[in-house]
Amino acid sequence: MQAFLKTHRLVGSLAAAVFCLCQASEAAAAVDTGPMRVLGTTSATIQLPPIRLEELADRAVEPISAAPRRAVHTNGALIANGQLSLPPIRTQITRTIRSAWTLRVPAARGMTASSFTRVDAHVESAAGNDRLADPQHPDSGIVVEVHAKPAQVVSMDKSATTLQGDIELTLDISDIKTAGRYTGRVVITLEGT
Amino acid sequence: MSLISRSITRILAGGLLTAFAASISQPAAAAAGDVSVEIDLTGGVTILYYQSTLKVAIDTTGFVTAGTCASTGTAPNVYFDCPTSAAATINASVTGVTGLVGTSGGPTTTGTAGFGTNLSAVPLVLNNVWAVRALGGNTANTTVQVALQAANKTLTAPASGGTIVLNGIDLGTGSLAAAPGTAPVTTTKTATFADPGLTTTQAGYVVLNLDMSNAKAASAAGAAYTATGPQYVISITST
Repeated sequence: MQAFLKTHRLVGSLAAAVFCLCQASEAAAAVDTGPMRVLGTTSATIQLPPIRLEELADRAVEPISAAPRRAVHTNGALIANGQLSLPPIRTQITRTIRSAWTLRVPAARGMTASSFTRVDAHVESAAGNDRLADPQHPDSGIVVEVHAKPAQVVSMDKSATTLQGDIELTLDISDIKTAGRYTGRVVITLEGT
Repeated sequence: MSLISRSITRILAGGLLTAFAASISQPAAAAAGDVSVEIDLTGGVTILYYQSTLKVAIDTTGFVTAGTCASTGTAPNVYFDCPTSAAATINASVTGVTGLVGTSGGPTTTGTAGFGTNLSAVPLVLNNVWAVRALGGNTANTTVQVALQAANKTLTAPASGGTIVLNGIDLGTGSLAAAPGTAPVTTTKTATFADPGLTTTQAGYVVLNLDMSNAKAASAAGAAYTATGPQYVISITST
């Protein structure tokens, strides 16, 4: 039994050492220094298509029907008060970034597309998380909800499997006070087993 | 240690190694990156809302200076007897909700006592008849224009033969509770304001200057003063 315990400790120590080495390797990879962990994205800023009128409303000039008014002579004028019932506009628009990221998984690593079971994404900017910011108007921002589409295998050979994924951005324009160029970074993280 | 004991030890150790090996051969996969994005909202989105058909019932009882004329009847049919130097009687009535109306018995715009309104220039303030959503464009401002349509400036009430002539127009943002401080024009008038954004709106008014000196009482409710075409056209001229 004493020999069993010695053997157990030895195996445990060896395994722990190898595991730590592996974790160290993973930690290094997490800063995008290894060939395995580099998530391919474009370095250029992606220009999202501007908001079009038809995404917000049905037409640019909207006739409104309203009830008859009664004008009462007050302070030297006939005053006819009334209200226009304005139709609401759509405040959320969607933009999709096709193939926002690419990941090449070497076959030697023993990983496949199914190894990455979770794709997360969120927006960061000077206005904070989940917002695009206009540097000229820091008090104005566009709230963004990010939906990362599942990874798709775009090529596979003996040496590697290449994955790609789309990112869908839902922009909420409710808080926009000024026109401008709203920018931010979409941070994408792939995790799995 | 017996042979059996050594075997158990090897089996257990082997199992542990296999378990560790399994965990080592399938490390947690992780990768991260980022993409810079930009959306340009300087191109401009502008939406103009306007009341397309206006039906206004004019309550002429306010034309008379309060307390100076005896009145009879109840709204909307009120009759006034105002003292004048010529002892004329002004009868003003309002019929229905869409007609107006006018006067009979020889109303005059001068020489009366108690009749406090110049009937040849009565401002009709139409509050909240247009509204704009706007963001971006050529400037941070939006300009709305209203144009009086000369061909349709005379409204007639066929039943009575009376006319109301629109001899001026004005435009502004917000609303008015009194006569506008600006003089009406006979062609076009503009109002420029800061883009309100897309979820908030900038509302505004139109003022029509009415010449009611030839207005007469409509013969029946609904016999409104009308014209064949629009009296004004409202549009966005700058974004």
